[in-house]
Formats: sequence, C-alpha cells, structure tokens
Amino acid sequence: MRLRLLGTGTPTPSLKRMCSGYVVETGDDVLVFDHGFGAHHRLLELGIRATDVTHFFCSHLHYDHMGDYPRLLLTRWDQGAGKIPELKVYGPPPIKRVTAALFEREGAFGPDLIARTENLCSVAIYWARGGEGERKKPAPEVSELNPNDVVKGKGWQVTTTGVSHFGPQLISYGFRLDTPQGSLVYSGDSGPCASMTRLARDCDVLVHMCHYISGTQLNAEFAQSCMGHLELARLGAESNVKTIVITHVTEQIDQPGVRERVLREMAGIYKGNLIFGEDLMEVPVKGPAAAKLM
Amino acid sequence: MKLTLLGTGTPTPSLTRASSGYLIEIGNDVIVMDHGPGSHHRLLEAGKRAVDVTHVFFSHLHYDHCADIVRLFLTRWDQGADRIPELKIYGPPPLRRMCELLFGEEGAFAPDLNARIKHQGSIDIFVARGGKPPRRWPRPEITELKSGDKVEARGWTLTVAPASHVQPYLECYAYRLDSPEGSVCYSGDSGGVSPALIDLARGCDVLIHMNHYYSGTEPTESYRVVCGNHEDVAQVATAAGVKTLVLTHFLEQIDQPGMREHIVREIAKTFTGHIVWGEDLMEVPVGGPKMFRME
Repeated sequence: MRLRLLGTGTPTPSLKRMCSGYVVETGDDVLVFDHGFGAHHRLLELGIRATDVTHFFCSHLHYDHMGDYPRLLLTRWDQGAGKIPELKVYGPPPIKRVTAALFEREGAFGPDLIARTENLCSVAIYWARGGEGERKKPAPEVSELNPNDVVKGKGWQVTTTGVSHFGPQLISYGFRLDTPQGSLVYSGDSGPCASMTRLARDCDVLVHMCHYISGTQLNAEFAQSCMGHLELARLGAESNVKTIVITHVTEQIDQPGVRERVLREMAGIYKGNLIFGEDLMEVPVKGPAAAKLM
Repeated sequence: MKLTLLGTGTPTPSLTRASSGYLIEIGNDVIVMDHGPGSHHRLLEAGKRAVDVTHVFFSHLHYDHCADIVRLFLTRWDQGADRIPELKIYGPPPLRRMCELLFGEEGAFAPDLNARIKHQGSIDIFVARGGKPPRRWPRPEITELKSGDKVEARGWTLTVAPASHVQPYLECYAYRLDSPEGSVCYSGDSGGVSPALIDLARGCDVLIHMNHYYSGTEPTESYRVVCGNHEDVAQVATAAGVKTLVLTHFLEQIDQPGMREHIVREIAKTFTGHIVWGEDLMEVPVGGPKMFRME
C-alpha cells in the first residue's frame, strides 16, 4: 500500500499547496480521497493517469474537496475510450445529484459529451484510441454513503463516519481504510468530535486537517468545524494513533518557525510520529525509519 | 497589451501543455480566452489571481476549453468576498445553461455555495476577508454571443466569427480583439481553410491558430475541416496577411524534436510573416519578435 499526498492546502490559491487530495494504491486499485482544485495536476506529476484511478471517495461537497472531479472524470472517460470500468464514486448526499448536474445529457458538460459521442470526428478518435462500437457517455457508479457504511474492495475496506464540519448545510465524512498492509484514517474536514476519536483508534496513519493555531479561532462555531493543532494532538493521543500527518494547512501555520512551534507543542501532548504534510509526499505507512548511513 | 499563452495543449493530459487557455491584459482588464483543465494552474504561475480576471470568453464548450471555469469562478467568488465586480462570461449558447447547471441554486456546486453563504464559520471567513454580510450568491454577467457580434469595452473591441469545428453539435467561434495597442485573433478550434476565419483575421498583428496535427495524416476528409493542420494554417495566415502566426493546440504527434522544425520550415514556404511555436506561459510579442542588441 502506498499513500501519497496530492493537495495539502485550503481553498486559498497556492502553487505550493493544492486543495485537498490524497491517493492510495493498494493491490490493483487506485483510490483517490478528495479531489480539490490542483489535486489532479499533482496526480499527473506523480505519473498517475486519470485512467488509472478506480475509486473516488469524496469527504464532503465543498469545492476545495471536489472541484477537480470534472477534470478527473472527463479525462478518464475520454482517454479510457470505453476500455476501462466506470469510475466508482462514493460520498455524502447529494453527490448523485451533483454528478448528474455535471455529466448527464442535460448537465453542465452535456454539450461536450453529446458532441464527443455523436460527431464522427470525435468518434474516429475514440476508435483510434481502441474504443469499439458506439461511443457511450460516462456513467460513473455513484454510491451515496451513510455514516457507518462500509465499502468493501479487493483486500481493503473503507468505513465511513460523520464528522463535525459546517453542518447542517453539508454532510461531512471521515474515512478509515483498512488493509492487511496497514490502516489509514482521513478526517476530511473536521473539528474535534467523538466519532473521529473512535474511527481513528489504533490506526497506523491519521491524515487530519490542521487548519489553525489553537486559540486563534474566529469563534466557537469555527472551532467546532475546523481543527486546531492542540486539539489534533489530543485526538492522536486519545486514539493511540501511530503517525499523524498534518494537512489542510493555512498560511497562518505554514511559516518558518511556526511549523516547528506547532510540532513542538503537539509533541508535548502526542507521543507518536508527526509528519508535516507536503504536496507529492509519500507517507511511510509504518512510520518513519532512519535509513542506514552510507 | 500583453498576451500570454496559458495552455497550448489538447484534451490529452500533459504536464508541459495544459488544455487551451490564453490571457490578454489590456488597460485595467484581464481577459481570459478559454480555460481548459490546467490553464488555471498556469494563470497562477503567470502571477495572476482569479480575482484579477475581469472577462472570460469561451470559443466553444468542449471540456478542454471550458472545464477550469469551475476553478476560476469559485476561487474568484470566494476570495473576492463581494469586493470585486461579478465576472463577465461570454461564449456560444448554451453557455447560460452550463453556468446555471454549475453555479445556480440547483447546480452541481450549489451544496458548496449554499454552505459557504449560510454557515456562520464561512460567513466569519468572508468578513475576515473584508466582505460585508449578507453573503450573496454569485451572479455572473453571462452573454451568449452570435457570429458577427461585437463586444465593446474600454479601449478594446471584440468581434465574433464562426470557426470550422464540430457544428452543429457545438456552436464554435473564433474571436478577434482590436485595440490601439494591437490586434489579436484566436481561432478557437478550427480546421480547413475557412473564409470566415480569413476575413476575421485579415491584417491582424497576431493570429493564434490551432495546429492540431500534421497535414495528410488526418483519418478522414471531414476531420481535416474540423481540426487545424500546418498546411491549412499556413494558407489561412497567408490569405489573411497576418503579421505573426502563433501555433498552438499541439498533439504529441507533432510536438517532437525535428518535427517542430520541419513544420515551421514547411509553413515558411507559404507564409512570410513571423512564426511562433507556442509554449505554455510564453509571452507573445504582439508587435512581432524583436532582436536584442549583442552585448
């Protein structure tokens, strides 16, 4: 199993930290967790193609977590030329309606899809790419998840939990991926909540939003929806997490000296491994290990 | 006037050539023509922010020309915090319906917009960015264009003509922008030797033209009039008498060492103006290339 970080930023535009995205390769499956703006660019930089992706898990429908869904799906469909299975998509309601509004015949990209499936020049390209017969429009297999739902794949399973983020306008989930090679938990966006403490229990890696320096929250409501660094450290300690990966980092935190201060203060509470996430980083699922000097 | 190429590629994913996008800065206006996947990344690399963009023109609604509108539009609205004018968006029908399906109250991004407008935490961020509540739903100024239309703005005029592409499935346009600082014509996606495009481009300083593939390798006759190729592009540029021809929208087929040079040489047999082989993030000299003094 390989875990790589695609986007470790926020909605604020940045060339260093793209919006949220994570990719896990396990067995023959390539699982993308969230796909905000720029995450797809990072996927390309890793050498993973849209056609390689098998499953897309969306934590919630904020644009910084799914704005690159059109790029992933349209590129995958166009380049896949009917030779690969439909993309499997999982997320909270109303992700079915969102998908329909984007990709159905009457959707935002309907004019493109109609042109590419009916214009003979586009169909000729489809055949040149190895497509056969009539060109079909994309039909992603979308599953709307409920809290505690479990998705089973080949050699892995994903467990869903509700988290504390911008309800009731949005339903937001965290996910836990269990495989024989290790266990990963991804917070999506969340402030402190008991369900995440349960979901993360004893996991190898917790990839968690770390949005602000504790104590600087705009107000109490903000602090329920977004994670501060000390609250994250307490979560890691209470859930006995082996490695915390800090992500969804704002510019407030991402400054020389401030990063180190965050790590030092977290280490006062949490004794496991700490990783300050960066775009394109491969996370050692079994924890960091010093390589032999040579 | 400053012209920067954002994306000079095709739908084929590429790190060197993003899908179609062009940037024109003139006076206080920042105009984006087409915005395919990856061209917004290039906009950031060019040092422009979403909030700087004032006008967007779509040549047609193929996804490699319009899909990054989602990124541009939502980022601009969110970061702009109601302190900048609404985005002006122009293109062929059904542009209005597409925008409604993306950003309207029942659109694909409605759950996001609704949450950002109503949740107190999001309102707090909006206020921290200088916005004054209540936070409003975005209302872009959308104009559906027809061939022959003109858009008049401060210090520039844009003219619309038909391109030769995948009609009737999609309405497809070429654009010409005229200003006292120069004239730029953009083919959109267009093939063959189109009289309408020759008329539009006549005498312009810069013609940016799709050069998708190597002439003669088209799979069918009809393909040739749909996608630009170097022999036809040379004829269009020559007949229109343009001063500089910028080639773009390259397939990997021709974007190869030696092939590039071969194509430039073949075009130069017919076309005697300047030829520029486009690259992402290239600033095109609108007045033509200048030779620097040796020092």
